[in-house]
Amino acid sequence: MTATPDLAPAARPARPSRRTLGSPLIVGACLVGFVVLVALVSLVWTPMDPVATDAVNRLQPPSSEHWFGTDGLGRDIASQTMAGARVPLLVGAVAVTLSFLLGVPYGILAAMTDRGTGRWLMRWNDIVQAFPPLLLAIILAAVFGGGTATAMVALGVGAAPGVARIVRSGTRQVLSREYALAARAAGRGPLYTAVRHVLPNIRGVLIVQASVGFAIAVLAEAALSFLGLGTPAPTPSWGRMLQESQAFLYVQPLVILWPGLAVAITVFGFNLLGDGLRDRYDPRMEVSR
Amino acid sequence: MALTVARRLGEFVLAVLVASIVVFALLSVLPGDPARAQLGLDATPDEVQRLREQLGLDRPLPVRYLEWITGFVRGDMGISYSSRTPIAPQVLDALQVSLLLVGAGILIAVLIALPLGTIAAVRQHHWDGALLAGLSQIGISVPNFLAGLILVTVFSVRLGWLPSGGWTAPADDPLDFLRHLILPALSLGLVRGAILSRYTRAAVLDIQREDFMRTARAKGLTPGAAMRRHGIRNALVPVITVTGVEFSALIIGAVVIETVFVVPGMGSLLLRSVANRDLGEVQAIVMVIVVLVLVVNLLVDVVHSIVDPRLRSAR
Amino acid sequence: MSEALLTVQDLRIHSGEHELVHGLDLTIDRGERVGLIGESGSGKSLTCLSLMGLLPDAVTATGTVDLAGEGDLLGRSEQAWSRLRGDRLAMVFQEPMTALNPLMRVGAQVAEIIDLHRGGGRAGAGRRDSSARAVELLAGVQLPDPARAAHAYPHELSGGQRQRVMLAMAMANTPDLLLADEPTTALDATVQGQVLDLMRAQVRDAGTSLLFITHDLGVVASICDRVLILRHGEVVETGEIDRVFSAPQHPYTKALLAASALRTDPTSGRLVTIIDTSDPSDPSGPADSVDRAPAPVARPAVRPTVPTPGPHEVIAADGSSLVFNRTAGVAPLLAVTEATRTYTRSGGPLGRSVRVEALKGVSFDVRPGQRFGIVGESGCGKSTLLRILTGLDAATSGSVTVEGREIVGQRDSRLRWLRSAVQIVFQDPMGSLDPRMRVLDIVSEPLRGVTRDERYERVVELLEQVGLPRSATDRFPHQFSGGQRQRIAIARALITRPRLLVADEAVSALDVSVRAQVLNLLDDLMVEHDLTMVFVSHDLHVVRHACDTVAVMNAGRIVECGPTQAVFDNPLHRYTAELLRAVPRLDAA
Repeated sequence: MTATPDLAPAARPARPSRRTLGSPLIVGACLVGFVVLVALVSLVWTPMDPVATDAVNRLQPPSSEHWFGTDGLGRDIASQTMAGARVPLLVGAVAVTLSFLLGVPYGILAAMTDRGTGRWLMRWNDIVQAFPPLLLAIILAAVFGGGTATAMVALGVGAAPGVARIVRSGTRQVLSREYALAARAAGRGPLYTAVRHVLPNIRGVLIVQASVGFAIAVLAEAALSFLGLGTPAPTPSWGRMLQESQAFLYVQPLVILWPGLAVAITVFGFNLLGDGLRDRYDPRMEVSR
Repeated sequence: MALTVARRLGEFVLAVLVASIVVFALLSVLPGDPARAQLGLDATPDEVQRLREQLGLDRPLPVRYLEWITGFVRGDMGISYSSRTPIAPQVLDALQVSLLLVGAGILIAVLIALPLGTIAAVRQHHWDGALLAGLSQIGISVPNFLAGLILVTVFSVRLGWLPSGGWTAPADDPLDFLRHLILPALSLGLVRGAILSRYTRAAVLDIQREDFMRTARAKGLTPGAAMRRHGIRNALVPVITVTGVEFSALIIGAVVIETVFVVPGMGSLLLRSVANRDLGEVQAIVMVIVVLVLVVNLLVDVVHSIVDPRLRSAR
Repeated sequence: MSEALLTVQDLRIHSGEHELVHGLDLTIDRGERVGLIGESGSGKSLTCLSLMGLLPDAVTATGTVDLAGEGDLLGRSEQAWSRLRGDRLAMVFQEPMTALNPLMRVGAQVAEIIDLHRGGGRAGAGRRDSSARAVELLAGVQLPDPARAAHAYPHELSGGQRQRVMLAMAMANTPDLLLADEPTTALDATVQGQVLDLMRAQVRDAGTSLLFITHDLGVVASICDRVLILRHGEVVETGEIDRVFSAPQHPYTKALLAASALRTDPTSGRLVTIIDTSDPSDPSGPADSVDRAPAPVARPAVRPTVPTPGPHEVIAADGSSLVFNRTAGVAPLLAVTEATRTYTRSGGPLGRSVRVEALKGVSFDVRPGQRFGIVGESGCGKSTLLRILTGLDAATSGSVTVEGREIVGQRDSRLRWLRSAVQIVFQDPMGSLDPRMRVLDIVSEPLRGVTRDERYERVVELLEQVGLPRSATDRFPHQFSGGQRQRIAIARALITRPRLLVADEAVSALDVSVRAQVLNLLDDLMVEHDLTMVFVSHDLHVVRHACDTVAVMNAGRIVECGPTQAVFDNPLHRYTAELLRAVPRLDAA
């Protein structure tokens, strides 16, 4: 009953207007687009061969020949940094997709089954969540050896419980609405409700989660490569570039700059994108425990 | 009340048991033959067989699981294949180091996040609030090991104020312990603090919209006083949840940071046993980490019910 | 007596470029009780907040707000406002459930306001004083066992009790002016009456002036001396309450009074509605606009014969079973026999579960063509009953038959026939329509196995019947006003040509002006579609108009049932009488 304060509709747009496409969304999208573009370009062209070593020109400062200088084996840092964008993006895309394929149906199922079953499903989810993605990756690396595939699977499976939790909470909100009840009263089954009501209404949360999940996967991939459990040499990788540069911190501290900047810009881009999307959809469906 | 505490404890024990089965399945069942895995492809069948017997791998899985888990509860984690010494003392030593590091990290994170997150929310429409929000956005984009490398570059390489790695036990030399603790703890705490400050900001913004905050101002409290007396404690409820999650993230983040700073903690131990393909040791360490995470979840529930009376009584 | 306490001149409230209140003038004398009446979107709540200096950030007020002895208040610093708030000006809000700090004991929250305005009295002795005073105040608002209540947390109190606490808090420092924004709207009728009585007594004893904001004319009649009628941010009429209610001048006031009383037009026998006079050039209309009169639909000249009235019965003192509204020789469309529903509600992670008996054995019949009303207060079990009738929830025991077929214990997949035979219209016209679906998909949701063209034709036909244009099919729910959305929900409910329509508080969320239109529409459709209706509501007034038979529910049982007129004129059960007494009436002034 007139529970809302009587603000005029003008003060409260029923739908986010175009103007809320604020700067975070655009800046984030530009940064992400830039990184993707660099990765694509590196497939066909880099300034130099990123893996070619040069024992003479080690640890060179930036020059016209080597834009960002050379590393401890004399490899061109600019070319390595460019080519290094491929693996994180690939790992991020596969891990996010995998976490959604596992987490979305699981979360919807946990919300739609009866309370008892749903609670047990979430208990199990909690236990899986006690294995952080990075720990899972280390375990799999111990068993199968490290590598790109191991990292993708581990990060995807490890992120799934978080997705499931968010999806469950969003689904429960949708199911508590009268339109979900109306669908049942209209003789529609749970699958219809899940596809026609739940998914469209939690779409915003999912898009935000995908962007944030991408950022987390890029971070985790860098950490794994840093630990030597990610993509094996000689495939260029930001994390391993950083790990290798640690030995030369006293000689040429600038070597951490470029791969470090690359990771930070990529993660920053995805985070900004997520923030901008959150503003746009303002789903206000948060993880509730 | 006593009954419900007992129930929650029961759930915790159950979760630990289920998790232990998962750990066992991942590291003792999934690899197929751990003996073969440890010795590599060059080993002769004879060598493999000897190791299998030595490790007790020739017995059925349920027996091995029960033996492992009962031993674990008693504090016996088995013998390390690679170092031929009992695993438990090594793990416990490393655990002490890691807990100190993680504890210092979470302390720094909370000390940064609570005030800065609150200020960022309260001064949302001012330049300083926006600046803090922007800084936290940058902060969460930096991997903790990169933060570590930058800190080393500045404070060890350039200024030479602090050691770039290594560890001293607090009992041996408290001052040297602190000097070794600062940089790794900062690397962990700064990044986690940035994340936590964003959640704090969001929680405080949510609280500002609550009806009872308007009531507080209608009573005659200024916005600042209303925030101090009524807002902060309410905002703390979601922040506690996130702090618990962040604590778990710190435990795993410490694995990487210990590598950067050559700290002899769980992470270094874990990576060494992974490098040695010593799955028995990996299994013990993973189990300890998972139990830690579950304990933190339990603590979060307990702290919640202390802060929030609604969780204590049946509605 | 006629010394002005608060003088408001040319108050204008802006949100960005939009002016929401257009130059409001208002004077409140010492001890005077003034009502500010308006529908949603009229600007009444913003006016109230501007007098407390509590407007939202993006909203600004201009004009003068002059408080005796203080001068103009607008534009003052937060510091200056906070000295006045809680001391000379106090406020009670609409939502008692969220207005108190959930983590703080009630007594401490009351004591806080005393300490705040006592000139820095922060000493320990002062603290003890104020705690004792808080308990006194809680006793003053008639909370049972005030000492215990002071020690309780808000969630341990009911909504009515929390609103009493809010009142105790507001009156703690005997303010000069109490502002009350819909303080009883969220409460049940019986509780509402008690809180209003209490508020009236407290204000009178303290000599405090009152500004009472509400959409409910009945409530205002029982508490105020003088009223202002606000519409679209403008005062259309003001005066002594007796004069305004008995001889309204402005057409809007007249229409509002008629709509509130659900007055019928003697020539057509239909409810009087408000004709919108605002700019018709905006077709989608703002979300709160008064509904446009629906397109004329062919009306049947004669109302069908009302079925013979059923017996007027009351629950036996021992609670033994009795089937209400049963008439020998007539086959019921809906028969409910000894339906019970018990469920467990879980506590928090460290809380314990509670068993709740929502329904304790309910039996009644509904015959074809009846308009069967179910009234009761929140928690009486009427919503549970409704869900069981529609097969959305299963009864723990007992039987429910529709046209002789059992629905209790059937799986969803076996209830497909029920979905076309029984349809439901929900309370909240926003929540019952999926915001991401087009009207065509929403209305046709219950239809299965029809071609695209047939689907479209059926939807358009029904939209026209509920007074919406063909072009509505492509739009989304947010493009419609509350009343229009409820029409869409009704169209959806009728598309399967059901036999039984269940309405769950179907007009409770609507403004009074729109309410009359939707009730008229339901009335027409009942006839056109040869419907039987079960109408669940907490609003006795609406049920009296809309139903021919009424059942009164309390604590999980039906306590009384019979022809509406008989039950309202001659209640047999004590609870029914209490409920009827609590309904605020326009003529109570």
